Amino acid sequence: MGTAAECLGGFVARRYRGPVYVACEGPGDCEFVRKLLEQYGLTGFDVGCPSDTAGPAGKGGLRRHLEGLVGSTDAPKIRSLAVIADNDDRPEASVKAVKAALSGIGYDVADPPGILVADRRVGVYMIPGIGIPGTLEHLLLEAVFDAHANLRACVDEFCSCTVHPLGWSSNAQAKMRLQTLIAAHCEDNPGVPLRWIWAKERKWSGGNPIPIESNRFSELVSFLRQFAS
Amino acid sequence: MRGLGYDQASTEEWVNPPPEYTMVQKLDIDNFRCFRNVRLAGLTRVNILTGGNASGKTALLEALFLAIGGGSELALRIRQWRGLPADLQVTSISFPQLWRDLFYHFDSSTPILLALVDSEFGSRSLEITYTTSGTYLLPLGGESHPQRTGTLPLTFLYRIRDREPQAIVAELTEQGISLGSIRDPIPGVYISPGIAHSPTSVTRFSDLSKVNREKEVVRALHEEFPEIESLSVEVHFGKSVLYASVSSVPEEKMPVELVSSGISKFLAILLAIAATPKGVVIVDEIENGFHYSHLPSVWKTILDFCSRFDVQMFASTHSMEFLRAAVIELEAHEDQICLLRARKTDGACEVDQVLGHRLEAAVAEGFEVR
Repeated sequence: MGTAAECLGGFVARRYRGPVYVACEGPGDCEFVRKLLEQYGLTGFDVGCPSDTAGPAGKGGLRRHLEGLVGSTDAPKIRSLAVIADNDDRPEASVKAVKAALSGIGYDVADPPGILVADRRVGVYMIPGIGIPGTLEHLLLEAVFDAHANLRACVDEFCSCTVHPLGWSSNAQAKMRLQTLIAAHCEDNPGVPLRWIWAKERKWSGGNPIPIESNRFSELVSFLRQFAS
Repeated sequence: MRGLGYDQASTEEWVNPPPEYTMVQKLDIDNFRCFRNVRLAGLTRVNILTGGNASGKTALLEALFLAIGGGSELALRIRQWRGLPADLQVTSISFPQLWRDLFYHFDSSTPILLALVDSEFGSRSLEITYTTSGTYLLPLGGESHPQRTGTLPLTFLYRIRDREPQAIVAELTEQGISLGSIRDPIPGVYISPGIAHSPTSVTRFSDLSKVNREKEVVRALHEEFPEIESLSVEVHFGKSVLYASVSSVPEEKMPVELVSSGISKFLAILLAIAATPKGVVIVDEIENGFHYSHLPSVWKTILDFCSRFDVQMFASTHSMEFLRAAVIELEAHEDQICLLRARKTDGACEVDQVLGHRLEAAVAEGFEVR
């Protein structure tokens, strides 16, 4: 981080066209949602997440992100707002955090989340589902294992061979397992993060392990369809 | 369905004046230039105006300056600032044409109404209208054969709270068009993009110097631009001009304008603030002339001066760097800043208001805010 003056250089502002804005927690979630939208031909969506240089990222940055969205030049173009977030280990607390962020811009979302409010302007989808602990990585892993059932045992065995992973939190384990699977399939860049796996053509051994057409994503796709133009 | 951008401070939401000093707290504009009607409430110490070209930024600043009583002759001066000819040849026939562009869609049949709430006097308003009943006799003609002819008078009617209204009538004389001034205007300075420095800056410097208060300005200028060591008023080909002692040119002093347009601009702004305590300083295109590396500290000094002299600032800008610098310097003081974003919709200009914390969030998140 340089001086205030140095930080001003090379700035390119985020623009969007609307009419639907999807706010996610992080760039990996954004990329996944963009791929889903593309897969199902859903148009009129902009997808974004809290800046990881402006302060807390993830849910902690969601309020700042939404406040900024409302304050931006393009805000009048946004007719509908969808928020997609992880339940993590404590679904209730996660929902509460998302609702607080929306409340900050004047929207009091009803319980349970995932149901659109009156004029379909605002909706919340909690991953992997209402009241279920977990993250996007949990959802993606299930999709991978649906398509490649044999891999579950392989990853479990790999984890048992390493020193720490089985003692890690469920979220950390899910991230590690998914990243392990991606690394084992992505020949051109085994270290590619989730945010980049769909961004360009990659050299996959046996194909991208994450089947974007998986039925595991049906509920999320249905949620997004309700915003589509 | 409405977009997200509507939930800004509205007149209805505005209940209590903000705790920090602000002179103009509310501003209503009706039928002025590109504005059919605009309602602004909850104005703050620093109000930054953005918007595309021809979105009404300058018109808003002009409306404000007229409303505070900064001089109805502004209506003429701004023609010059906008690049129109300064030497006008006005006849009784063309006289009404001179003012038509002040009216929304050039329709002078509907009066212009500019109303504001200020922290000193409460409400005040300015109504600009042609008196269509009867004619008003104005002296016209050449130097040797003055004559009087009939034309429609344009009246600037100022109302300050419950006081007797003050009417200023545009008058065409042999010396040109003259406009009077009102009692108890809100002290105000308008710095246009093309005229950062002017004879009034010299006067302001001289006035401050007489009471030994110019040092604050010189010190601030030196801190930002260390090569400037001192300032003085000198006679330059018969005119009073501000000269600077520049460390890199020890041989002789130089007119400030010749040193740097950015330094000249900065000095003009500081002098305007220091000479307008408890007033309003309006700067159109404030970023002009400043290198980006100076922006945070320039802002810091401007804000410090505004605070020290209880001055409210309205500044327009196209610069994201300037906005980001402002937000950086106002961090933790979001209630002292708001963004006014002008835009044109269906031929009429509108102004969205973004509160400080949302402007800060938008800038932090990298969203476009101009």
